[in-house]
Amino acid sequence: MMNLATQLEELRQPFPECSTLVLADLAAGLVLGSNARNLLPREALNRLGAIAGLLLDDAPDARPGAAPPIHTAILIQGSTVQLFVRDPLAGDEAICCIGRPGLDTEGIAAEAGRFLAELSAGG
Amino acid sequence: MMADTDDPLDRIIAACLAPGSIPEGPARLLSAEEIPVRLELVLDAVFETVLPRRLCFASPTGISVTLDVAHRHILAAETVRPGEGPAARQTSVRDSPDLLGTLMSLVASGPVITLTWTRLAFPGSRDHPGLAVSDLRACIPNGRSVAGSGDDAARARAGIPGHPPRAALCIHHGLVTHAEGHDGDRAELADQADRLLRALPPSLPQGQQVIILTAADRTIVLDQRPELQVNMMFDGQIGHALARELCEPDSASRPQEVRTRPES
Repeated sequence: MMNLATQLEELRQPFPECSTLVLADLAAGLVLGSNARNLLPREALNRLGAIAGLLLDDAPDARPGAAPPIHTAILIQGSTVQLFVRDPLAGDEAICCIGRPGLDTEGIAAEAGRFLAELSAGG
Repeated sequence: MMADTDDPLDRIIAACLAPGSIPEGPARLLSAEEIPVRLELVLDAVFETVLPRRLCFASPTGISVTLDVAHRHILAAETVRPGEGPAARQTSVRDSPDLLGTLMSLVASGPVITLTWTRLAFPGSRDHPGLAVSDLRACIPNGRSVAGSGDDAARARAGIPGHPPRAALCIHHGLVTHAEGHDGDRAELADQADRLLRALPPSLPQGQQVIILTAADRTIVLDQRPELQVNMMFDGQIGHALARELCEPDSASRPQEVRTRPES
């Protein structure tokens, strides 16, 4: 069975505009694993995980009539694009991606969703 | 200085900015005697304004006050722990289901001020569990002209070409200058923006930032610049199409002019 870093690398490689991928636990606020073209400081990865929790709202409102949970978030700051995708099944884990303009957010979001679903299913 | 102006709203802002305007200590109800001096100044300024009916304002880090302006009466005042502002504000309004008419929401937190002067009519608000003061912030202001509000109206109505927004809010320096959409949609948009902006600014650069949030059946776009925010909510999932356009280097600085392609 591949380790997490290798799995993340396989997920990242088809998307050349993606420089960093992080698997984060939204509820615990933890970075579970990462893969990057150029290594980022741990603090930067942790910050990415924290932003994921914020954007994807790690404590969604479950009351009837409450706003539906956010499952994808894209943050654009100048020439940096960050994509955050929540686990479509369990909802507690998310893939965070740092990329540059041209990043196929739709493609990587779809792949990240599949990846997270398989991860939740124990794959 | 704002305190020297005759504009009562500016005086309210000045009073809220002053040191000691927010009491310290754990969250609890305040008695009338405990209302801080600075807050009294705020209330005096509020009472002097020509605002009928009742008024509610709160700080996310300090105090929540609901006033009956017409009778110069404090309906409720309580300290609020950091992070509990929205809940406290919800309580303030939920406990006053008849809070209809012209209201003003004023939120002061250190140097950050959010002020909305607005006319409200929330039919059925008694049964609206999500009603919060953020609803007030999502409503169309009246009685106060704000520079650029005409442009804001056009911007909010237009949204993104081909995608009229379900709801939109234009905010200058924390003041809602124009709003579009139904109450519930505006409230949802305001809540999302409020939640994010309370937590995000310290880590943000001064330039433009666009946040696109995609839920099952809607897309929320928060376009933030140092002095202006344009927040919009759209039906459907157009986030990726929008991001494609926004991420093109030559269009990164003009999100209101983009065209989106149909979502595949």
